[in-house]
Amino acid sequence: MDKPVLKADHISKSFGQGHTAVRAVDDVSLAVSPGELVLIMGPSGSGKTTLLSMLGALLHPDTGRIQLGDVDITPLNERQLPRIRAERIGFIFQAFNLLDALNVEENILFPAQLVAGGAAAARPRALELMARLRLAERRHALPRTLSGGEKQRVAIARALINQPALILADEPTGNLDSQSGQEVMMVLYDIARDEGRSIIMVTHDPRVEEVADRVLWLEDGRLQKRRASPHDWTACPVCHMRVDINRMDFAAEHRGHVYRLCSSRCRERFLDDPDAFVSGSIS
Amino acid sequence: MLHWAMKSLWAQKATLAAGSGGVAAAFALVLLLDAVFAGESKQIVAYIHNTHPDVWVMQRGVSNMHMATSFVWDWKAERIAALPEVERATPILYLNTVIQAGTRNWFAYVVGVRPGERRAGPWSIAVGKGTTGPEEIVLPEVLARVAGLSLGDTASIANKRFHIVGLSRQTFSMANSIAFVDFDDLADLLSARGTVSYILVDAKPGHDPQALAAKITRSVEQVSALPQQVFRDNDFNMAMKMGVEIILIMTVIGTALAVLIVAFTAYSMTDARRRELALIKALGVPNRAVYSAVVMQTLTLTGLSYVMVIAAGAILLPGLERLVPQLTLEVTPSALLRVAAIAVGGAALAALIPAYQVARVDPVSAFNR
Repeated sequence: MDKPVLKADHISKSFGQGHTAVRAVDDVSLAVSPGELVLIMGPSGSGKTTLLSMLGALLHPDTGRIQLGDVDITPLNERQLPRIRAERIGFIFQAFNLLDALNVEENILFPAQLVAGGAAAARPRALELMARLRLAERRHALPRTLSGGEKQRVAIARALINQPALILADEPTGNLDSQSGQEVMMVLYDIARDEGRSIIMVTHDPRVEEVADRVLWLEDGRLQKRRASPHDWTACPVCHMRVDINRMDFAAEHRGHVYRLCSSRCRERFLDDPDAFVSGSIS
Repeated sequence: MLHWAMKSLWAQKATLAAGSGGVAAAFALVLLLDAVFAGESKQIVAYIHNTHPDVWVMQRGVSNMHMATSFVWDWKAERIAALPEVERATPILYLNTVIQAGTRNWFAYVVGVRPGERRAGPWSIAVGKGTTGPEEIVLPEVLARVAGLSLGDTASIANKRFHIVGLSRQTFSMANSIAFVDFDDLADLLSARGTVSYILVDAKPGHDPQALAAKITRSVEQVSALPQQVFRDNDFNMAMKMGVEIILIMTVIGTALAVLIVAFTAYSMTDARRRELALIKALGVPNRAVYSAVVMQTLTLTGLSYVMVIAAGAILLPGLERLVPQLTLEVTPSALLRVAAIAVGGAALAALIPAYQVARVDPVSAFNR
């Protein structure tokens, strides 16, 4: 196996203190190989963005260690990290985040001024990226005149301009229609496959799973084994509210069947007289 | 970064126009106050400057003209005139008083000049004559125009009426205009027959005014004699002392206003760009570079305002002087430099607020959806 582009060992991050403390990421370890396309999925508030921020050298973990290539970025300070980000990481955001005052070419070249050689040296690559991502005709256009798909392609070109080994994408298809989203996904897939760049992508888009090498499921800040079907529902036999069939918090057994209830109140009512409720429920 | 900073500034045209207009207005206020003060200060010494004798002689203990009183026996003028180094000694009477002209009272230097004497009289006449006889007065042209008076009308000093026989140029000032009357009329008003206030002494060619002043002080009892430049500087400094604090306060207010407007504009522009600032920090732009960009934006805004002030001043000031003839405006290079220094200092100060904002922008917020 190739040496990993990114390696995170037992990283954790909490916000707040005392009673209000929230453990956003809890003891996560992962390694990403060159050319690998890794998805991070999970419910809202599960810590995906916090994890992505730490992997992107934007946030320090409270504990654990992150290694980008041969550099341990954990001990680096705010003066050292910007250079690491500029040279080694490309970012793609759900809201595109283009600089409004700059045209397509200037947006793509913006990160190039932060590395050796500068924008002048990166111009041929910018032209190549624009041609590849079908932006050549729009190189002088301002972001406000672009479609969503075009904006995201500009953001992808910007992420690639410094040829980083790692690309972090946060819901890159989230603000796009299905056709544009599909197109963006295929571009990212090609980048991973053809250029050997590693991509870590946070997404809710189930279509992406088809092209991903690996899917990680993050829930309550921890990487967990993904349930076979996260959308398997039943109805609470007492109040008929929808209940996740995989959750056993308020389950009760009656005549050999396990019934899932929505709350402790419904469970108490159910246990008082199970036969009054079982006829209309789906177990 | 500089390219982005400038394009970003330019992209916010409405904010840029409002901000630079506001800052320009504040700078214009500072510059206008300075111009009024410089103009008035120049006018306060206009009589000394334009009559320009080599030596001024006055009562011992007196060293200037503005707001001063001086009496010297008239025979001392003759004694000074008899000195071998002296070409001419011209006595004047002088009173700092109020002239009633039209419906208003005007503070003025009233200079009493002997009949037919042109040496100490008005140096530039717009209309009428420059010498006065009994019950005649030469008024500043601007004063007469504002008061609605012309030749043949009258003006009063201490209830004594004078007929206007001439209107002079370069003699008006809001603080102290200069009027010329007959020597004996002013002597009667002052009950000071046999005295003079100042003696304007012209030295013969080749004689040093300083040495002549020293000789007069030594040889004529109870008088002070000062060379022209010293006397002029004394008067100018006195005028500055009387007005400088007010001007200083107004300048500080104008400057503070300019700094506040720059700071507010820079704050608004930075606040509107928080998302972009978070993005560029996330992409790897170090804090130092972001600060520099914000400072450059603030300096550009201020520089633009300064250019606007200079351009507006060049166009509007001559018109303003015509529109308000009472104003004597003097825009000096030092004032322009001072306002430029204020602009740079103010911009640097104002940039502290957006710099603080920049420091607080969390690059993680670039992920906000």
